[in-house]
Amino acid sequence: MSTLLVAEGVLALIGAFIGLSIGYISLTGYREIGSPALLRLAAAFILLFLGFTFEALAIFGYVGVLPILALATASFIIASSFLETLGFFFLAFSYILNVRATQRALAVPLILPLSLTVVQISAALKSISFYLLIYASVETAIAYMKTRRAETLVLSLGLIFLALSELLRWISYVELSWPFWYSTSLILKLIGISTLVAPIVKFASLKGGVLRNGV
Amino acid sequence: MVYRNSLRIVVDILTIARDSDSEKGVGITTLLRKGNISYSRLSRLLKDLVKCGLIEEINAERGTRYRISDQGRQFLIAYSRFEEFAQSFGLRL
Repeated sequence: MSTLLVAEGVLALIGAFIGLSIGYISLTGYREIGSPALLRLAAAFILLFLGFTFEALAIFGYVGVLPILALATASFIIASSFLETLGFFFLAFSYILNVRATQRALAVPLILPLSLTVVQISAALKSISFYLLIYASVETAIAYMKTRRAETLVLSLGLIFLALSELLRWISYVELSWPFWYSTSLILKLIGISTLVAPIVKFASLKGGVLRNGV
Repeated sequence: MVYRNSLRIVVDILTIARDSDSEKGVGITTLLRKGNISYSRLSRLLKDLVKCGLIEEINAERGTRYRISDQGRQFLIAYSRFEEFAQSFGLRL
């Protein structure tokens, strides 16, 4: 149990680092060329960075790695779920504006009763994240059909893995055989987060190429 | 038909200016024809681009001509880099 939790905490920290990197590149792009698409991407990944950071803090507080945070675990869990869902919303929103077809946006239940427990709120937010991630992965797959870029396909598959991870995490809240669902969810999350490195690697390689060629 | 946003139009105008004669610059008629943009919009755009330092105005005998500045070239390099980055996500700038 605690090993799985620590693994999830480490995974959240890796996700936070990747989110920060993509957020930083997007924000730099927005500053340099003023593209609103990059601003939305920056907002999405900075929110995901904050969400993953809070998730890691919640887990490390809960398992006793950071005992000082133990009392605030519930607040951190809700904050992380909320920030991650908001990040995925901005990501999905970028695609909605990109295709200029708001009618294709998925209807998600955003009103939550106030009497819900931490686990219920977290599960509800995770189910919303699932819808948003599925939408983003479908749009990325459509973009791949047009551009045939390998990194776009990798990212689309990565978003599907992240969506499935959220779904299995949600199932693990209610299923009796939760360790199986939980560990599978972690593996899928690891694969999904790893694919997010593709655009960073592409950008870094391109930077070198542009400087060499001088365009 | 692909929808062009304001940023894409700026990039198109800068690209036309870059690909034209770098010494003499390019006339407004060429920009209008190749840029596929109305005269009033192009006039406003050129004024803004000159103000931002992305394009230089040259007063020639046969009217005003426009030449891309070093800052404009840097802008195009940055645009192509970030366009690739956004396309990795399946997004258009």
